[in-house]
Amino acid sequence: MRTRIVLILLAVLTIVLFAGGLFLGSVDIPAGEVIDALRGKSDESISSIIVLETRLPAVATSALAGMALALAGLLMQTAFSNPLAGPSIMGISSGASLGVALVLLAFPSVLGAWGRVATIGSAFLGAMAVMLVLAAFSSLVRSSTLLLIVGILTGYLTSAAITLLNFFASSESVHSYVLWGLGSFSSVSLGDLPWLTALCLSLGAMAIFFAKPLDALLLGERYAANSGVEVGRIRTLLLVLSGALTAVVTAWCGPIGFIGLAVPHIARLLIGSNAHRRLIPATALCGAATGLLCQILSTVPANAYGVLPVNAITPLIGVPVIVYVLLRRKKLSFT
Amino acid sequence: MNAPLLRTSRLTVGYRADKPLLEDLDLELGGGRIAVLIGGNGAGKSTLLRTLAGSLRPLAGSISIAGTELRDLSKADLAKQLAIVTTDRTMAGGLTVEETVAIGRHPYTGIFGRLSSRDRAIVREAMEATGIAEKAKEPLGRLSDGERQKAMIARAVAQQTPLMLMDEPTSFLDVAARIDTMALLRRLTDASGGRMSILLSSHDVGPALEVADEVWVFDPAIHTLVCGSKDEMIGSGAMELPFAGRGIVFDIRRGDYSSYMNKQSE
Repeated sequence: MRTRIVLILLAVLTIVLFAGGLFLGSVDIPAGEVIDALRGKSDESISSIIVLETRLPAVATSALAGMALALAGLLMQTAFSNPLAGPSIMGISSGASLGVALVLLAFPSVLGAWGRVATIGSAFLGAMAVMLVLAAFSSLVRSSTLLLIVGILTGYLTSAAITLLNFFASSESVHSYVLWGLGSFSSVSLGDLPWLTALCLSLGAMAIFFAKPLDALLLGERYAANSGVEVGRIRTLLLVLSGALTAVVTAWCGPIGFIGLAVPHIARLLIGSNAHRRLIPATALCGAATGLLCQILSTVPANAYGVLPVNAITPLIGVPVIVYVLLRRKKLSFT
Repeated sequence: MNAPLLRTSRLTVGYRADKPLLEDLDLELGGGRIAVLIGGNGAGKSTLLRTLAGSLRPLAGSISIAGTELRDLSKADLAKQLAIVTTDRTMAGGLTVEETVAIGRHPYTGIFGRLSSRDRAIVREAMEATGIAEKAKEPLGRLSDGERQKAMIARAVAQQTPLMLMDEPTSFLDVAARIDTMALLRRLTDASGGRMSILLSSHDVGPALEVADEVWVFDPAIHTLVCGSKDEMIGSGAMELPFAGRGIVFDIRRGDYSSYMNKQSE
């Protein structure tokens, strides 16, 4: 019952924020003109171009990216039995970034559709490389804190490699890479949006097929195996899926921090449960709402430099949640 | 005695072939019986239980439960033969008792784990049998250690397997909960009408012996288990094998271990 109410409220909130993102922005556009633009009435005006070609893709991207990262974080937290796991903190986003950096900096001439495919593919390979390191260590070290440290250190190593690539790259490609690295939901064109939507929604929908083994994994490896879960195989699939979700978002939006780590905790607190059949939809909606909120906060303080980097906003939401969870870990009883 | 429910043949267990912990075990456990494993730390209690549970490959030999060879069974089919109870830490504080017990039905349900009305009835019966039914809607995180362990035992009951393996099922419980849990194991085994047996390891020898039919003690000197009925084992002095040379005697009147010094002063 509580879950149903929370899901309905989250869906309403997501819709409201989606609309809010279309009406609010760094340029003031009267509400009437926004509605006209959306109804296709004034397709020549500047406000129509801003709404349809800038705001709509950015708002949709923020919702999709928020959802995908939050789901990736949830899958990682259960797969690694670690409440502090997440795509950015454990270096998965850095791995994806290294993949993207290789394409952007080493082969800046790859453009167009093939450039997209190359960026996503290399982001995926980079994410999986880090994921493999973590998976290998997770079977060696039992402590969740140690695993976290390994993830953070792997992140430093990939950052070092990226720094090196930057050092040898031309200044134009460095500029574009640095902008990408700040994180932004605004860099997806209207033409790319269907691709991002299809990838995020199809990968996100796959998560629900893992609800049953994920619940068993909450009891730990031995109990999960005793409930019929092929633990090694399921864990590998979970890591591939969360790596793919992270890679898709990172390829288009840059490495986005904290959403993947914090949102699953917000969702758990809201529905008061850990059962994945309920937690997966709650996390997806909560992630979309959080992405939208970050997008609105990054565009509203209009200034000469345009939109703020998303990564300047996400820690403001993520860090308090993580501190709260750490402090109340025993009492919350969800971890 | 019933036909053996668990049977091993020349079973050798351990992590390395050149360092087996136990060799050539020919074990038998009849239906409706409780056997207690007694041995010091590092003797191989957990290793044996892991091997029997299929999470560790035997170095040699074979295991069968109710006539089914465990080798080559899929994880899902294995889960229909045996259920485990451990004291592993979990992240399941946010699952309700009912949801946790329902995980015991996973080997029988489809990809989304949807429960049939029969599954629901079995979950309910398991919670009633273990005395945790009134907490069905409580999250595990709000239960006492003893209640949580009852929920984990109910999960194993709901799995409806011929064999239950329990690795130190009472180790974090207070004295009342320990005795309570052991009595629960006895009731469950008796209620099964000989179709279910329990093998458990315990440092908590007194309460375990109260309910046990059989005792399996480790003899570290010759890498084997000495097995027998409780009375045989106590009568033959085999109870002292695991701790030979460590100044420990088995006190027959108390039904528990005590120090050699105490015995002398009496």
